[in-house]
Amino acid sequence: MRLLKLGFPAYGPFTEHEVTFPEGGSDLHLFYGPNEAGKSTTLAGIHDLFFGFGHRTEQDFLHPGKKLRLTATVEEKGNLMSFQRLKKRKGALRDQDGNELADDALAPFLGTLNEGFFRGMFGIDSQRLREEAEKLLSADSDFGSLLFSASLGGRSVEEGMQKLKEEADKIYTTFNAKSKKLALLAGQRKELLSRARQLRIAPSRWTKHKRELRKAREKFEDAKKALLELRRERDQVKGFLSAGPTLRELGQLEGSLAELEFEARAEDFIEDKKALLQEVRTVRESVSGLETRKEELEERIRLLPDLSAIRERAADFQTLRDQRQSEESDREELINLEREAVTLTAKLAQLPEGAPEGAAVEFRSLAGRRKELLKELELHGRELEELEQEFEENAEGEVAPNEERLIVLQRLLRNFKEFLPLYRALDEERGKERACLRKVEQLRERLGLVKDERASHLRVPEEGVIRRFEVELRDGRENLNRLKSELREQEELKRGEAVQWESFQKRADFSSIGKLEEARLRRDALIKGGAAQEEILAAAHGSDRLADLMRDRVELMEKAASSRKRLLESENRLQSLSDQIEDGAAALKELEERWLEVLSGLPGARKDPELMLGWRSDWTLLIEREEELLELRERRIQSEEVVDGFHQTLHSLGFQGSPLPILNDEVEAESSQIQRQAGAREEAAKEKRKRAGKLKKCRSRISAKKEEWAQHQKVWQRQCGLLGIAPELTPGEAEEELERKEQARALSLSFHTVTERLAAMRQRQKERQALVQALAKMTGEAPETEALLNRYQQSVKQDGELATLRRQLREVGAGLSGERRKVAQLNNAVETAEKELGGNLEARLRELEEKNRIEKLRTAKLANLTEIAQGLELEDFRRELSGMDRVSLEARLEEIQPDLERLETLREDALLVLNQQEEEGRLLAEADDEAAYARQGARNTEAQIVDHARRLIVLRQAVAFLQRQIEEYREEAQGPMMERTSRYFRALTCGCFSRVVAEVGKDGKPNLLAIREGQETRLGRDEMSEGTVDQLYLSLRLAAIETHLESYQSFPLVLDDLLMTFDDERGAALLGVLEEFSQRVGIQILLFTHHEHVLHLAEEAAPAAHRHRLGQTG
Amino acid sequence: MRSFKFLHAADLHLDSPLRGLSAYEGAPVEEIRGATRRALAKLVDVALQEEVDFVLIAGDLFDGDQADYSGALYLRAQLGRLSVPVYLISGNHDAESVLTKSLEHPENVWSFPVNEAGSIRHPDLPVLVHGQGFAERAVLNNLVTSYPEAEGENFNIGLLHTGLSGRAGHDPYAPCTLEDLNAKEYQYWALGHVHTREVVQEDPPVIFPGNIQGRHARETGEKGCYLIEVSEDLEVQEKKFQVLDQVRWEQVEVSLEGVADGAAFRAKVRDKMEGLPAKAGGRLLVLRLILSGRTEWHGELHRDADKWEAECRALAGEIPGGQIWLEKVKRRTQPLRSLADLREQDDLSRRIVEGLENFDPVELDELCPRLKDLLPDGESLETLFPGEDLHREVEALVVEAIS
Repeated sequence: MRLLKLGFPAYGPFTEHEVTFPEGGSDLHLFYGPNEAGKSTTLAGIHDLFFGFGHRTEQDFLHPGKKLRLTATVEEKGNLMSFQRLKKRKGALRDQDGNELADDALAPFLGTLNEGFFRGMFGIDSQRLREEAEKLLSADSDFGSLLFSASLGGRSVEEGMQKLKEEADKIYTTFNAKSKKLALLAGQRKELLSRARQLRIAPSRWTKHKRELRKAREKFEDAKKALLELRRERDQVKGFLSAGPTLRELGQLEGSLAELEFEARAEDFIEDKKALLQEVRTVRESVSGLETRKEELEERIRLLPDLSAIRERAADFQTLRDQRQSEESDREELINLEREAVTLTAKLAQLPEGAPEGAAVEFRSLAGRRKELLKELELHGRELEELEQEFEENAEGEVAPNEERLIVLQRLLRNFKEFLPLYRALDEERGKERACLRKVEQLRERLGLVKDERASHLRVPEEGVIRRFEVELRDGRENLNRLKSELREQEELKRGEAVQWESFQKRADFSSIGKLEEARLRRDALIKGGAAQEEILAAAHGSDRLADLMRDRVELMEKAASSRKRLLESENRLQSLSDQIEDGAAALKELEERWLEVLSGLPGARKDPELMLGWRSDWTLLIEREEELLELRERRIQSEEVVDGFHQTLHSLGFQGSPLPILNDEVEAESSQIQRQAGAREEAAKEKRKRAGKLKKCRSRISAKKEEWAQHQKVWQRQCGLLGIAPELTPGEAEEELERKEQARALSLSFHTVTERLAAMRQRQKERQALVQALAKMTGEAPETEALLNRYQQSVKQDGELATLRRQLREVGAGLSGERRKVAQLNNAVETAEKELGGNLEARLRELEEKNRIEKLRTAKLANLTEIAQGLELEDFRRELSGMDRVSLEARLEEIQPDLERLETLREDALLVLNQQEEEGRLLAEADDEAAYARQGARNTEAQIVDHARRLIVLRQAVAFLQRQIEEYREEAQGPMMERTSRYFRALTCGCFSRVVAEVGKDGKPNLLAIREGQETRLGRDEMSEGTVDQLYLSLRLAAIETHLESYQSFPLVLDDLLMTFDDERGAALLGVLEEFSQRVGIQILLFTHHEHVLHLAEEAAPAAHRHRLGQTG
Repeated sequence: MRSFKFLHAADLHLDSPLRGLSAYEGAPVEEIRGATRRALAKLVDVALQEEVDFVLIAGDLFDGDQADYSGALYLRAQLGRLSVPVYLISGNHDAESVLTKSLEHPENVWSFPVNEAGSIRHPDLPVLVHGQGFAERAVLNNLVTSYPEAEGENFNIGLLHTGLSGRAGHDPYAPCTLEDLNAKEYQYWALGHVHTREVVQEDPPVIFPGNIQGRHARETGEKGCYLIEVSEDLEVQEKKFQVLDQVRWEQVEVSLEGVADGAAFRAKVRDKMEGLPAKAGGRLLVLRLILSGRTEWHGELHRDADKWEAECRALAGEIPGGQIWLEKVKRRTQPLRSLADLREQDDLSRRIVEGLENFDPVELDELCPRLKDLLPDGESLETLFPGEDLHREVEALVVEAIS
């Protein structure tokens, strides 16, 4: 695209200024103008023309914002377009006639160019040229990539690649990075495996346990067996010792038995007979008790009085009881009835005579109609009165309307419709503005901005730059920490090695060599001197020992040498680490300084890049808010101006002071009033006719009602006569009278009922008193209901008691007969037994029991002796026992006791060990799967490790693959770029430099180096003059543009004040290069300068270039 | 003579950990604890419940690298619950296990010799079991040839740990053919070693019962043993499979064709998972999810792999009827936009797409120095990425980066 015409009707210092770009010659346009002539404004105008004004502009100092306007005519491949740009939010793009154009109407002329790319590539001043180049060369990525990205129009695959790399770095970076996911998991796995090893039960433990258990069991069994044998012996000795007295007791028992000559009886027999005697005693006691009871019962029956007469009149007493319950209520009812009768009599005396039945309904209907008629007559009368009055007051006093005033007021009302919403919105706008201002102030405070400093004027680094610093600083610090930690470890190692070396050295005593030599010399001297064999041998032995010692020491010396070597290595490593730390610290410091440099000029900026990102986000927000505030303020001021103007108009028409809505009401009211006055006269005549008609109708209705009233009056008088009510009473009064008459009739009926009930009550009272008198006479009690009933109750109770006593007496009699029969039977049995045993039963039984007791004792003694005799017949045992010495038996018993105690202790100890082993066995057999579970945990962690490792490998492979592809592609793309850059640089430096090369510096960053013509020396930027650096950057830019235009459409290149650092020779070279570049590449170039001599230079260097002069105001 | 019943099991691999279960927050870790032990206890429960006359275990009681004797004691205690004879042989894993050497069996357990084939007669039945255990891990000779000849009027059983003439995923130990087995004229061949159950021959039965508990993603479906019923005239009447596993492994494939957003993705996955816990009989289900199909969601799945795996796990947690442990989510989807389309995008894209066709992975040591030191033993680029996995996954990320 090229510009044909550029217009500044109202923009910055320009008013109706226009530049035409002639065709023919070259497309290089030189613009000359002194300072403030508008060179930078022209560059800004080209930007605004194609990409819009934005919310805020610095170009409104002469023309108000709303009036700003730019125009242009452009051409692309033969297509022309003329358009203008206004400062508006909507509809800013117009055609030359002012018609709105679509927002994308310029797209065919701009192609892929966007605002950012224009700023970086096509709209350049000297400052931006340096900035963009520095950005290329100091950025994190390599130089080629950025050149490459630039030539592609800013597109970068690296962003996607960076994300993959970041994800991978969270998983694993280096083996020593212990905080990364994989390292953490590996640590966890190691821990779990170690736990599994600790928890497992080794097979050898089980084998050992089995062996120990068997031993413990054998030991216990042995101890147990020995103990049992010794106990048996002890019991035997004890038996022998106790056998003598037992034999004597046995003899005595047998003697006693011989004395008791009667036949022994079995235990059961004796028990049976004893039970018989006990039963006889029990039954006899029972008979005696029953006889006593019978006598007592007979006495009590005899003492009870005779109450049979009372029991015979039980029915009368029941009646009396029933009546007693209702007596009280009857009495109360009687009193109430009497009172009611008296009250009713009094009321009847006050009321008129009762109305005849059925007449009341008809009379009430008549009274209702009478009320209606009276009301209707009253209403009609009032209506007539009002109509007559209105008719007489008919429309008067019409005033001629003020037609002229009405027109003015109606215009005002139309204005109100427009201004009132504006007025109402003002408050809201002020509120918004205040809120926005508060937000701006908060943000400014948070950002730490100096008062009145515009946020948009700050040079805040891009987000990408901050992020890169964040990563670099973090990596730098981590690297430094790692190196320091390694250094500490290495120092520790070195200390250990040094100690070892010293130890080896000390132990390798070199003085032994001298001693060995001496010993050998002595041995040789002895041999030579023909000394005795023993002496020579002793000397040889001594020297051999020394030789052995030496061999050991040689080994120690070797070890010391090896230790020394390691020590030196360690020192070298330490030195290397120190160097690395120093380098790392320097690099970090440099990085920190660069970062602080980036932050310089930002008062409240944060040193922490992460915080700085937040700061930057606030800053972006602040710019938006500040722009919004300006817009709000502008809108509010406009509204206020409009409203004030309208207020003044109203004031001139006599509407003072008040707020607009009230004034609107006032204007509306006045307008209505004038309108009403105009219509009033016409309405009055119409109204008069209408009211005359109404009056006539009303009078006719009144006449009809009066006739109806006369008829009603006759019927009324007749009905009043029938009911005995005075006809002159009002309908209400007549109805009240009728009500009283009806009440009298109802009371009369009630009175009759009450008197009947009174008579019945009195008869019932009389009958009750007669019954009380009769019962009192029969019982001899007082004539009172309560006393009589008590007396009756007493007789009923006594009757029950008598029946109970008689039943008990019968039962006792029956029991007594039975017991007496049993006594007879038992006496017979006792007699039979006494006959059998030959004497008193009780005495015989005692003798039999004694004989049995002695027999039992004898049997027990015999059993004891049999056990002690251990199988010998009793007589044989007696003989053997007589041969034993009691003293030696007692001595043996004493000997056994300590052995017994020792064996018991031994057995208990063995049992304890056995129990422990059995417990161990149980624990082993029930061992849970803790170890297996820990191994399962380790397996689970392994699975996690595998998952993360897989993801890591995929990410790294993808990154490596992409990197490789991009590098290869760049290498291909970078070749032509560097060639072009070299060509332009050679031309711009008038052949002083032959070419430019790209190289990666020690710090891993790319750098551009220039090579002087005829030399191999490579000069870095810091070794070049300021002008040469600018020429290098411009070469780079021209090469990038040329590469870009191979694929994309052209756009005018605007260069502002680039010649400041160029001497005349290189300035002329630049003009020549630009003219050639413009022609060859097909690009329009606009070069601005304030040096007039540049125009002179151009006459020779770029003769086909067009010249333009910029004045103070165009 | 009466009819009788017996159980045939193999490959207990007691206390062997379940593999590939990447623990995540909320994973039912306790549920997998002691799965092989619980499966063994279930085997004994079935034997008691069915009142079998004896039990056969055809090798691999333990894992070779195991040195925790508590597993051996557990086996001893469980087999001790039975009053009927248990006949067992050692397998390749037992041969190298230190546990086997010091194992003491209860009185009802009979272990066969390892140096030669032997025969053990049932105390009450006309049943003769012939067998030989592994003396070392790699037994490469045919053991069957030295097995005793069948005794007439007896029910002869051959107990053998073998890979027959070769089974996928198993070492070809104690190789032999079906003809070798049939030549012995036994009435039943109780085999072990192959973990997938297989009735190799119906009559006379030659059976691999498989292992009793699946241990990794390739051992899916029901796992257990065979209950064999033999008639009075010594004919095999019935072969019933008895389920013993306590944790079930399964894998399902979900096609994501037509999926364009998160909601649709979740619906598809949820739909596929529903009903799976019921199918596993309420056991803990370890599930491998394979996402496939050409889908718009392809890039998202690879870009935010962790997020979508977590989503799948959350969905698994919501499925009623039992717990699901999501073992792995395999992404085998394909993008909607073909590589041919990308090739036309620009020069760099063309170069990248062409590069993908000849993708050559960087060596692991070069890519991530010393990463191998952190990986479990035996893991390498080849084991981590079998087949075309690495190429496919790298391609997905690269395509996503340049799209």
